[in-house]
Parts: sequence; C-alpha cells; structure tokens
Amino acid sequence: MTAGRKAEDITAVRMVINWLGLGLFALLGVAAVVPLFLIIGDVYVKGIDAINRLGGLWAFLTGLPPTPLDERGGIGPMLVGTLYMTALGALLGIAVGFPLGVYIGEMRREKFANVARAGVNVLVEFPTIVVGLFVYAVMSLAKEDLNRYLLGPLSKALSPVGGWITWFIGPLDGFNAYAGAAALALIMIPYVALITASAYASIEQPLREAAYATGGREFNALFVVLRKAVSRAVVTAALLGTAKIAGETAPLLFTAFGNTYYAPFTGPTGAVSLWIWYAAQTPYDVQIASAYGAAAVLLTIILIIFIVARIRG
Amino acid sequence: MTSPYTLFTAGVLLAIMITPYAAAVIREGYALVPKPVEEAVYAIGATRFEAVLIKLRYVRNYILGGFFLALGRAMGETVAVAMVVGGNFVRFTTNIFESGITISSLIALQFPNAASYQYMVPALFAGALLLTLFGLVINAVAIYIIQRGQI
Repeated sequence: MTAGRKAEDITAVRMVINWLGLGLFALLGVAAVVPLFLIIGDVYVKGIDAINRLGGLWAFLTGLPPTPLDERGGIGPMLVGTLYMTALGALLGIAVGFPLGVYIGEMRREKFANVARAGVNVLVEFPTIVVGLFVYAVMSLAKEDLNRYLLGPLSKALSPVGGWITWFIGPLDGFNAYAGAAALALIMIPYVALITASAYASIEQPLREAAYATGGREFNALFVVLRKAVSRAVVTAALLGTAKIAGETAPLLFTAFGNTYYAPFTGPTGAVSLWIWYAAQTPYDVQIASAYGAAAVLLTIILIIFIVARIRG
Repeated sequence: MTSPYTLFTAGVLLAIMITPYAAAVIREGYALVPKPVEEAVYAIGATRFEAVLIKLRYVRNYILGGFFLALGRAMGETVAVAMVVGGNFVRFTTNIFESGITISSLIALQFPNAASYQYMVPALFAGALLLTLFGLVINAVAIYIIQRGQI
C-alpha cells in the first residue's frame, strides 16, 4: 500500500517536472522568436512612416538619397546597384556552385572531391569581410592590366553600339559593381554547392542506376535525369542564397564602395545595404529616416524571395 | 553605462543573430535520432520531457558542434556588430559595458582611412588573416566533433 502511494508521488513529481520542463522549452522558443517579430515590426512601422515622409513609395524607390539639408529623397541608385550586383552574383554563384555541388555529391569516392568538400565547408563559414578584403586586393592588383589589355580595347571596339554600353563595359575603377558581384558570388558558391551536394547524395541508388542505364552520356545522366529529381532542393537553395547575398553589406564595403548617384557600373556603385550602414550612423534625422525606409525595402525584397522559395520548396 | 554603444549591445545582437543558426544545427542532429531509440524511451514510461532529455543526450555532439559553428559565425559577423560596438580601438577594456571593437568591425570601420596611419593597412590584413585562421580552427573542431559521434 505504502509502496504504491510512493510510486504515485513519484509519478506526480515527474509530471510536474514534465510540465515545468516543457514550459521552459516553450519559453525559450518564444524568447528566440520574439526578436524576429520585434525587428520586422520596428523596421516596417518606422520604415513605412519614413517612406511616406520622404515623398511616397515611387519617389522613394527612384529618387536620389537625401542630403542632410533635404526634406525628401529616396534610394534609387542603391536599389539599382543592389539588384544588378545581386543578379550578377546569384547567376555566377549558381553557374559555379551547381556543378561543384554535383561533383562533390556524385563523385564522393574521388580524392579530390573530398578536398573540394572540405574547401567548400570552410568557405561557407568564411567571414564575409575577409571575402570583401580579398576581392579588393585582387582588384587592386589586376585592375591596370585588365583595363590596358582587355577592357580598354573592348570598350573601344564596342563604342559604335552606343553610349549606353559604357555604363556596363569599360575601364574599371578601383571600386566597381563587378568586384561587388564577384564578392557576392564567392559567398553564394559554397552555399549552393553544399545544398546541391547533399541533395545529390540523397538520391536513391536505384534511381541513379536507372539514370545511368538509359545509356546516355554521363553528362546527361547527371545534369538532365538526376537534376529533375533534385531540382526542387536546388531551386530553393538558389533562391535562399540570393536572399542571403541581397542583404550582405560587409563584402561590398571595399568592392562596390557605395555611391549616391546613378552612375556607370564600372565605377563605385551604391547598394541598399551600404546606404543603411552609412545613413544610420549619420546624425541627420532625414538620413536616418531614409535608412529605415531602405531597411523596409530590403526586408521586403528578401521576404518575397523567401516566400517564393517556401512555396516552391 | 554612458552610451548604448557597448560590447554588451554587440553581444545581445550576436545572440539574436546566431540563435536560429545554432538551433538549425541541433535540429539537424535531433532529426537523426533513430526511431527505435525514441520508441524504447517512451516504452519504459518516460514523460515527454524525460524523452527530450534522453534524446538531447543522444545528440550531444551536435549541440557541442553547433555551439562551435555558431561561435565561428558570430566571430565573422561584421557590419551589424560594427554599428553598435562603439569602435573603440585605442584602449583595451574588459568591461562589457564600455565600447570596444572586434577584428571584423575594426576592418570595416578603419579600412577606409587606413592609409593615413603608418601601419594600419598591414595590421588590418593581418587581422583578416587571424580571423580566417580562428574561423578555420573553430570550424575544423566543430566538424570533427559532429563527425566523431556520427551514428
């Protein structure tokens, strides 16, 4: 009788501990998620207010940024720069990252694939500022030769096309959009490669054998048949990678440098994230407001990419 | 605390930024607990909380590895930290309620005008090297820990 009583007590204690423990987990979960909603709420409340104050949505998306003496302004040049560099960086990142991922995932037994896997694992965790510094250093070394032997003659040859071509191709400055895009691509490549590799590694063996058994070349088996099996994961990886690099600031600091005017991409180029970094630290209310507006715009872009990725994935 | 730009602010910021990442790593390990183990735990009459504790013990290498991966990522975090850390690089401080600096934010804040100091450019590149080496070591440790206990 007493023994039974005791067991009941123990059970009761265990139930209490159970509820306390689960409650603690729930509390920790809330503590981890609350900042997310606070940040999103803060950015949108202050950002939408700022956009209205600075001249409405369209004026904000296309206008030049405000100087400390202005009442109105926008983030037009930075938005163009961000879209251009993100698109280029994402294209390059997928173009290199996808085949690399296939190699790492499919040729697991090759020695060099292991080396590549280790390299990609390291690169995905690389501090982004170091990537920016690296591209800056390479750009400083390569700029003169590039301009003299490649881009100078090329822009001369292309000059009959029209003046607009000089906005895209021409002798590079030390800071330019292409260096920024290269830095972004360097961040995106390992990300896409790792997810592609794990997607390819998770294909069932029978499917792989069937793909090879259809008798095509290995290229077709890998990049046509098996790609269909993992296309969903790869597209999601590409979209999430794009969202990731769209908000990157550190790699652009010394590569794109930032600009507040519509300017050729061969020279210093603005980016929304760079403008937030610059404007939020100024003491002028109008520029801080424009930083909040810019943050709302950037967050919207990233959330849209995210939602598309979720729906597709 | 005289100004909001302190090491403590940067720490809170990093905690918020790193939590989802560490959680993702641990969740990845948690999903790998074999179903029979889970069933066995419940079969001996464990409550849900006790089952969670046992499963957490099962994935402890993921928790430790996730800690190191998050540490590596937090160390490389640049711009967000540079905005709140205060940028004080002239005086060493251990008081977390004073403004300080991290390697990555030092690079971000000082590189634009590094040329006006005699040794700043090489110092910043050396800082980048140090950051990279730290990152390499921490990541190697994390991957070793995670793979050592691979089930």
